[in-house]
Amino acid sequence: MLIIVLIGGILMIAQYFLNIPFLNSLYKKILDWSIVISIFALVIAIRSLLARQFKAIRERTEHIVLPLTTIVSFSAVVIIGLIWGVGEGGFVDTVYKKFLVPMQAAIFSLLAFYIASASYRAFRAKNFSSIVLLAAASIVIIGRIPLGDALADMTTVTLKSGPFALIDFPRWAEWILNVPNVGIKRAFAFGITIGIVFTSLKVIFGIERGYLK
Amino acid sequence: MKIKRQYIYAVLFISVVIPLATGLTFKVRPGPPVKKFYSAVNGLNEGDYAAVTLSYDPSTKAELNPMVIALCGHLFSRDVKIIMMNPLNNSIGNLGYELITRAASLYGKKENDDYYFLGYVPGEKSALQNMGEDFYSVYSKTFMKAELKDLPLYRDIKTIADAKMLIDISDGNSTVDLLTYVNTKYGVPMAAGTTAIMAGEYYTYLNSGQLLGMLGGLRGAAEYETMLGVNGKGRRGMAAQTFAHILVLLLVLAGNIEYFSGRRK
Repeated sequence: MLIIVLIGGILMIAQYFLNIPFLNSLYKKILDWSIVISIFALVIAIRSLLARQFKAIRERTEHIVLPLTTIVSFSAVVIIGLIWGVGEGGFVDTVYKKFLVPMQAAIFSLLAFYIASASYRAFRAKNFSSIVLLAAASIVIIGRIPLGDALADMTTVTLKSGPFALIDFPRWAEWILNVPNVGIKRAFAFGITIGIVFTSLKVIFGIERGYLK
Repeated sequence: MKIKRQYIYAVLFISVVIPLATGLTFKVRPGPPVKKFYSAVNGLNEGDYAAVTLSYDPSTKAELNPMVIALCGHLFSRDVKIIMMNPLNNSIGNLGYELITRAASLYGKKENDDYYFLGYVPGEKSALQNMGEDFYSVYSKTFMKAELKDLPLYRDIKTIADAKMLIDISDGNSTVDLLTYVNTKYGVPMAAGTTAIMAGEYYTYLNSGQLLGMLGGLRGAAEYETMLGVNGKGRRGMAAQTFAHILVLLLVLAGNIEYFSGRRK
């Protein structure tokens, strides 16, 4: 197994950087295999979902209605799809548009109510860090709505260099997103990427063998 | 005195419903990411192919559907052909097909000639990489089961690299996958539209020039509609967002006043 991983890993790295016909055709073949394997992963995912729900029913958990709903909904959509097909305008399409879409949108929209409630209860200027966070959040909140544009328009003065807004929340919000935000995100991205590279090398060279267990 | 949760919910509900019901709109000034996005799409020529990937769940449709509608309108108005697909999300297919069909009917565009909707295929990242090698090893039929080899697309597009631009509309980090597997490897220029919460993530790629432009959240959709001169759901939604944001700010203020007055006592 370790030899397969070593050879496969080195060939795939070489394929990315070198234009060799043999490696390119091997790469295509491996991509096809990975699609087939990912379909098997779907089967495993369905099995694991259903097994978990049946286990919850067997153990008679407090909220037994939840696993029952999952199993009934899952089975209903599968049966409808098998009998009437899954194309546009079909029964599954109706189930999708009339049930899944509005339900997902409704659940997600509840988030606005939680945010409003949390903003009243949790967002406190208790120390320096929270004051900075509060100030940055307030600038972005105003900068992302037309009120910010209106304030900028109202406070625009003409200088030699051109018009200049004294209170320009959209520009300040853009600066927060473009400068401190990008700096922090890049630091994270570099760290994560270097971690991925070294973990991959450890797997390829057999130092990391956790996946064999 | 504490404000009861129920009152907060009621005021939020009213501040969102009234602007939406009355169709109130405010003036929105387009920012640099949207201007760049607009210029990038405007740079496409008649007959070019633009690949549009939808990578979001219906839960975020309120933020992202206005972008898709505006984008399709922009591309159709410039006679750019659209290849729309959702290889990284299997739950948006039917909704995406409805959106592009609706936009196409406004511009008199024909399915499988001016636009193609391909839907979902399993494989995710492997599917993306395969598209760069042989597009038809991933997609052989359209969403409506038309054979791709019988369509004009087959003549013009061999790999995803033949598309002049790739635009990902997403609510997650699919844009990063597309940047890695399509933009970097096959050199397809990319732009993105995303939810407000994910927009902060993508400024890194916008700043580095890997993304040609970006639409961030409902505000991004509203700015894009302003540039296109249309009054779509993005601009109409901004009034509701304005009142909701002001309410959140007032609640933060009220919470802090209450907290500090309580500490003084």
